[in-house]
Amino acid sequence: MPSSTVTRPAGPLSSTLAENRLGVPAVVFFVMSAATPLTVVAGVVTTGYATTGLTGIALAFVLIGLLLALFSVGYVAMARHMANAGAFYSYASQGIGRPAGVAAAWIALLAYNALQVGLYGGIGAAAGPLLDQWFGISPPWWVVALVAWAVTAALGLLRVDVNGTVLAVLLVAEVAVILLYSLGSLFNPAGGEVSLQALSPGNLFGTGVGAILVIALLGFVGFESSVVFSEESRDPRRTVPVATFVSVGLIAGLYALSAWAMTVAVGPDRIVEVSRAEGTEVIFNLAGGHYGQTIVDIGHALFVTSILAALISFHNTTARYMFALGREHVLPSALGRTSRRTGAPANASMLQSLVGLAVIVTYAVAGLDPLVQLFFYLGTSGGLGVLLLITMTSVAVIAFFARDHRGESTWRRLVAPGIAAAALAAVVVLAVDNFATLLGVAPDHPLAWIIPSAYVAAAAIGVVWALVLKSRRPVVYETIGLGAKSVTARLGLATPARTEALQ
Amino acid sequence: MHPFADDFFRLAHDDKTGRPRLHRVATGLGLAAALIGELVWLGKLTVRDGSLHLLDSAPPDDALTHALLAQLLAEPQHRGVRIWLDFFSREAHDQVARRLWQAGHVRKDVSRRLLRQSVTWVPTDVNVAYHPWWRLTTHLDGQSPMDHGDAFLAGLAAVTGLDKELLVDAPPSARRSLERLVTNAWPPVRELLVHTEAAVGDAVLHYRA
Repeated sequence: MPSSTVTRPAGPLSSTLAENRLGVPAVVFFVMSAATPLTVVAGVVTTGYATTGLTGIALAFVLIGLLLALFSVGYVAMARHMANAGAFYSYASQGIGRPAGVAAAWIALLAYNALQVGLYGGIGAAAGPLLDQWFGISPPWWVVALVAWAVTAALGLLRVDVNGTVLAVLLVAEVAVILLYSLGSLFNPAGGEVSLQALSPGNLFGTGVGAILVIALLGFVGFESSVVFSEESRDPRRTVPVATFVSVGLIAGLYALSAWAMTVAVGPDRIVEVSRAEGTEVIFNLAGGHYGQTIVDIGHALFVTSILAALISFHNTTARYMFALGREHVLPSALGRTSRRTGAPANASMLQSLVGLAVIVTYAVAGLDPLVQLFFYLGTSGGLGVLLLITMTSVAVIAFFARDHRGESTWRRLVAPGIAAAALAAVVVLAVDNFATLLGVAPDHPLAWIIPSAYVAAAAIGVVWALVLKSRRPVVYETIGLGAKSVTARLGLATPARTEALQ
Repeated sequence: MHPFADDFFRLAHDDKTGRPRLHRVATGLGLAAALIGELVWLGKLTVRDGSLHLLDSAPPDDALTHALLAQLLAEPQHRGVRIWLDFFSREAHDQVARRLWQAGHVRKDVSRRLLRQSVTWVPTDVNVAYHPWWRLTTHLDGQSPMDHGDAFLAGLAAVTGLDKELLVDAPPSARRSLERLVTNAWPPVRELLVHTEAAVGDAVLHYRA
């Protein structure tokens, strides 16, 4: 007997769930829109050439891209089983253990703050040419930085993030400009011949390879946010991994291309000296020669908006991090409060803004160089921190699945993360070993060991903190790593790994 | 019937001008929780283990809660508290405002600013509008015991971020009393409050302009 099945029309809740589903292109777009490519190409790459004296940065992007793709296999697999998938410390916490989780949280706080504050050093250099050309003024870098700081701080308190459409337009425009500049460079090679020297593997065997690997990693910061969209994606098991790999691939390709193109137009033997002489203006001067002033002006304007967007974006990321930790009571719970009227994580936002202000003022008073000593030093130091976090996460993946396979394949839970963890650990060793080269200082310079030690200290503080919490506030200790959902776990309520929720 | 949503609406808006005291997302979530609370109090639902459980499907007298219960009944495959909180929170503000309007407690004030029209729901009687606030602050300041309904309302204020304002003139021990109201509440209410708190927190973390 045939049974009649009545197909119920989808109710309002089911329809709403269905219509919000994101596909791969949308997730890739969201991930990439936090990337602010011009900041990397015009700022990080050129300063990298200048400070380290190494030419292998283009190849380093490809290598790190491959490494992060391998890492992502285990990462997205573990994210499927996690309550607070967007933050690396959560993986350390649920994979390795809560002390490791708190250690990772402290490392993350240090790293993301460094990344954000470092950008204040870049905005003076980025805005300089524009201000001079349009208004005829040449204010000191810290004036520009303070204006940018005020804007960022205000928007953070008002809970104004850069509008999604604006970010999308900026991203497309920046990518277009980078491609245009790169093509211009490739079609006008120095000496008439396109040199592949910057891409040759020989670059990896010189001294200082750890330095260029950290620089390359900076370009990928934020790629991990794809997992945050899994609840909203059409087919999470497929959408999130594919989007992650596509993002990593696009980032690697774009930056490798532009970093290489620079060496082609200037000549690989001269890129270091030209970068030292022209700083962030390298690609703009090249473009001026190929295309004319208008294209350069557009590029300059986009460079400024890029850094500003990055400032705001990192401020919000860091503030939300502190907010989540405050909600968990891992940091003072006052940080976990929202502003009544705006819903912004006001206390966390103010704290991050204060840190930024303190650093700008210190650098201005001490007369330190903003581009190298603020932008590049803090940026690369932050990059080292992110590298540590990614390495810890890949170890956490292995430990997590070792306890319970949860139906994931051996490749996903053991082989890929295992190779990634080993490779990442090697990169960490190389990075710390070559840190002096990264900073462009003598091998025995104190900064070369102070910065890596700062992370060790942060991790140690984290572990001690966790153990103190374990003995003094065991309920709080038990819920570390769950983010906003920790409040349900603290009251002994069932916390399923994934709560179905509408965003 | 305990008009929790009406009272929360009053808490979340200024009693004279009707302008919001609380940001939109938290207001929506608080109202959604209050509406689910109304259904719980009527004995239609209970909250357990993160899910809503139906106890009695007979329709309530109030049109709004009747409509919400009908929605719950129509989609039995979804029972999670969080997902219904999120879903109801989208329309809750307008729905509760309309309910108050139909009862004559607020009037509609439409203002045109630049290119957009904005609606403010202005209370028709300031004393009625202020009453929930007055009740809660009196009990909190004076440390006198609250009935279960007001305790739920106070809990909603706490988890949505109105607590600082509520406690502004209260003695320091009042803060701890407020926290205890959440943790010692009747289990279905406690679950509802805690999931609302998690939802408000998640809204910050997932905010996209």
